[in-house]
Amino acid sequence: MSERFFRRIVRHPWWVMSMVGLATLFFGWRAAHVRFDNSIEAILPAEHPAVLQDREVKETFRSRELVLIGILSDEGIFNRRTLAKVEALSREIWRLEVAEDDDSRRLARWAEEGGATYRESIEAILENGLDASDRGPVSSLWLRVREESPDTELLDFLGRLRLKLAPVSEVLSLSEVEGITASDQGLVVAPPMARVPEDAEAVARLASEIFDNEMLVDGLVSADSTGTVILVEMAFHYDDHYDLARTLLDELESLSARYADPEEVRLAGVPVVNVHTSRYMSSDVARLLPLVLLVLAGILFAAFRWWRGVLIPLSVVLVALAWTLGAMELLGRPVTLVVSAMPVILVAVGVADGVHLVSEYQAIFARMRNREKAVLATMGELAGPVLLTSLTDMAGFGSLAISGIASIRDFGTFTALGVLGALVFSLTFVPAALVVLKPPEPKVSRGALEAIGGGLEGLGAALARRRRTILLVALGGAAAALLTLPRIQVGSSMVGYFQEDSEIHRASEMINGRFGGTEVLNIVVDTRRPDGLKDPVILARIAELQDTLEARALVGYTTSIADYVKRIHRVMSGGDPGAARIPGAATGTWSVADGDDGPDTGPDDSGPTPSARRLIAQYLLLYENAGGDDLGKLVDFDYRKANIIAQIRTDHTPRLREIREAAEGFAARELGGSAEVSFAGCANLCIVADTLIIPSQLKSLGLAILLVLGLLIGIFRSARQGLLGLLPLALTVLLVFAMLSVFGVRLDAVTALIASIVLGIGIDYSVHFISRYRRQTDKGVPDGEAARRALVASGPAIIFNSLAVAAGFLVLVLSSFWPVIHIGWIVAVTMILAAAITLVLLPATLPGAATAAEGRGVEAS
Amino acid sequence: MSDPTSLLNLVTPAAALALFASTLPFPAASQAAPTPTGREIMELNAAQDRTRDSQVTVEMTLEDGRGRSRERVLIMWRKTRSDGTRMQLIRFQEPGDVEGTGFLQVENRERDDDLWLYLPALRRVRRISGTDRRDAFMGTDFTYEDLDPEDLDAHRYTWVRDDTLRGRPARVVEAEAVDPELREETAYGRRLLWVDRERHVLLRADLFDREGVLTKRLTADEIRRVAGTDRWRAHRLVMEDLLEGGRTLLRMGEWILDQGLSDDRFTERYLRRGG
Repeated sequence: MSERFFRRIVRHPWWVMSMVGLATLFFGWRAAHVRFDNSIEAILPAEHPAVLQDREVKETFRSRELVLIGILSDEGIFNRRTLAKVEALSREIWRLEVAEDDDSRRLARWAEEGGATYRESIEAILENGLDASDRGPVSSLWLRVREESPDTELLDFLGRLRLKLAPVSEVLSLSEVEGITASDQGLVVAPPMARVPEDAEAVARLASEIFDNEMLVDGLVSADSTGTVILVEMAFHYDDHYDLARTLLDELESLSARYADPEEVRLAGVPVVNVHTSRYMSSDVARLLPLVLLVLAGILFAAFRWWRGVLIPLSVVLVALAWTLGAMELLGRPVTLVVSAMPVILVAVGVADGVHLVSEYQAIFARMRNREKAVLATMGELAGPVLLTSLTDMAGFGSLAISGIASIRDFGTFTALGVLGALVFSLTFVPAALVVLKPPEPKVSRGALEAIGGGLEGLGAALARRRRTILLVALGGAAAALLTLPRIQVGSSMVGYFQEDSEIHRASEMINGRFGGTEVLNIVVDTRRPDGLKDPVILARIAELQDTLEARALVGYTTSIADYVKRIHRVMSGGDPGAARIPGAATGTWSVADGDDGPDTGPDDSGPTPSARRLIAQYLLLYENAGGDDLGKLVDFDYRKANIIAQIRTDHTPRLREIREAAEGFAARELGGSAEVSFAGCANLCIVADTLIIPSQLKSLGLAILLVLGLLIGIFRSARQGLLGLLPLALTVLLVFAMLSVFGVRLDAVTALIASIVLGIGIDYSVHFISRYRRQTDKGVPDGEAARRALVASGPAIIFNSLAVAAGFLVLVLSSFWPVIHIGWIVAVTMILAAAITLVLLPATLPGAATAAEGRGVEAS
Repeated sequence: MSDPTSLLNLVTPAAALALFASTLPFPAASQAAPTPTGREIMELNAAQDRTRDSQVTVEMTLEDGRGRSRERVLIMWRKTRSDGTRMQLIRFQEPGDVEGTGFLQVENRERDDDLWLYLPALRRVRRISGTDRRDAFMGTDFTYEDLDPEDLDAHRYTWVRDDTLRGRPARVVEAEAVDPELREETAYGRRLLWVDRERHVLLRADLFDREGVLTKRLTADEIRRVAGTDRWRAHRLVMEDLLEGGRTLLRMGEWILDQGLSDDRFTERYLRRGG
């Protein structure tokens, strides 16, 4: 860092300050628009094969994320009041729209600008405002624009407006779902509750019809009849229109609230969890960030007793934050739960630069009494170390950019960027501001920092006498920590992230307790040939696979084409419950069981295809003919692939993985060569994300260690000192994992960050200690004495920094999310550990190493 | 049709296809005449539909708009009895696993239509219940309603303009349901029908849903005279779903008109024969 650079800054402080200030205003303005998103797709990289496959499966089977609305009543749902609510709520959901005032304004503008072409249609749409009744006219206009003028902006706008006016693509409830029933006439495909029953007798009849339909129990109605569920499918993918999803869920919530009492009406499902997470995340940031800043301001004031000494480090932090969040918004990256820890980390990291600069300036100004000269001297002294510690921080966080988890990648990249921002600000705005600001009073005490110094004198002497013991304890600690590592658990649960008394936690528990489950695993069985699904053997295997899964308590409900075939077979066999099976599964043929139509003519084995297969094909034709449409979500267009939907009562990934493994095991045994099985759905993405965490974590940590080691060796031009500098941190990182293991904190995308945070921040301690030590040995001070002096010189700053960072992180304990709470206390504890280990281990190891190195140097010369 | 939810709809492709034929022997006569009313245009159109019986083989191709297709082949027979009620029979030929599956519908004057289904794998005939006229026919882009013959008295027809379609002069007629029962049940707010001015066959229909959105378009072409008769018939029908992007293609083989089909063909007993 050349002196000329700082001279220029010192000469034009206002210019520098306004340039940096303008840039900060711009980024800060963008930062205000940053989006909070916590869907699993935001956590996994978009190009990951599992994500691509998930998209394809959703396309093939026209499936979208589901919102479950549970209507619960301890006295049972089979009464006219509750059933009427189900019917009315379902109807209202169909009519929901989420158009905004801004849409009307934009539309009106188009009417004005577009001339006469679309004016008439638009004016008709805008009459009485935009509402659900405009669905048709807007779709008409959209079709017209698509055909007539390829105005992509208008077309995109109208396409989105169509979604806003009709954001719900499917409502499945007792009054809406396709129920297949037997009647004296044969097959009927109609909602179980086509109209609300008019008297108690009709209610009882409806209840018995519903419980006679194995496809409805557990799926739509709880087996104890204390609840029914309305499944709402969004007309779009959550990730494509997360903002619409959020508004839609707000609407669904307020709508549901109107139908509550005495029934309980609760929302659950993956999109609901995502929205709740985003909401809590932004409120967490809004609540915790000021608190962190306040805590740090207190600590800074205690250290400097100079209010500018508080403002400057805090402004470093705020600028770094604004730049980083602004950059995220500009690059279209969302703030995920993982990333939401970043502001606090940047505060903790960024404050260090400011602290060092201010305390050095205070000391120098006291001697020089000239602002410009004092600033130049301060920068001359500190520009190097600030640059170095920033580089090591960036290496620590930046190495997370190679992670397989998108949100961790973002965290690493943008935190490194934030550190860079802090660096730039520290080297430009801070010196400029110091020149402009009123200097500190000469009598001002250096505060708490000095107080720490004295105690370290004695420590240094004690350490020098017990080097062997210290090394043995360190080795023992490392060994003990290593032993705990195999017990570390990997796993996450979005619902489990919330506190137990949160609405989403309780709603999920209630709905999971009564119905199939809020988490969806799609199992795709690909027969690799058209009409392959009409094979009774395949269908029977699919049904067995469902039975295998449903035998698990956590799998609440499964549905597939096999259920439809079983149901139709039963209905066509006169309603006999024993006939709810795949016909001819064992032999490929089957025989007629009932005889309402003259003498039994027996199985028909004529023709090229086995009779059971033909029967199934004819059943499916019959179902299609009866107006059945729901099956389209369970088979692809040419009956090649089946989609088994398994609803699971937890989103805890280790449990999800067991369920997937059970399905894989069954497929390998029973489906062998006849069909391929693959997985999709939110549950699968969560499982995949899990499997990425440990390898990604190891790779990133390995890279961070290599980078940091390289930097240390480069800085000190000594491999030994580099390695020794890394040692305290390596030990601390080991202790982090030991803590995760001992306290049973699961390793997930969020807690996986702890090791990198600790490494990134803690490595500064080694840098500071070793550089002071080097300065002493360079002056010819003997090793032991150099270590003692380095301890006294760097110790206060290191201890102060670790306390400040720990205090900052401890604030996270107030978060709404368990993993963030874990980050808070674990980082707080380990930062203090890191400082202690550095201050104990380095004085004990460095002198020996240096002696050995010097010894060799002497021999060589 | 007395019961619009009945499965007569199933069999009425034959009726609908017959719509596209014309019996008028003097095409040039209308040239100088004043524009006929919508009702007159549709009466001419209905006239060429009127045959005692008909038979045609249909190849049905369903396309999902994403490159996948499904094919079925079926034969349809239709007969109008002396009292004006209709009988229709559909028999699937392909794919092999549904070969022989049949649907029989007999219209009744005073009560609901009779509907029977024959599943050859079951080797028995079942009576079945009706469906919603707005439901898709056999998973195609046609609804049962699309396959109904025009019920002239249940609609109001308005001539809109003249047009030329694929080189053919056409009258464009707007059809709107007026019958209260039909208004309740139809999926369509209105339909725009292009009727050939000379042959009186339907060339195209734009179907608007109840909210006024043009959702589907039917195109009829390969209109040829049926050998040995003065009737015109479409040999290719395409129904496009403009919103979702799928379409259904019907290819008709040789039309056989007025061959003197026996009433016996439209009985449960015949249905069970499976052939």
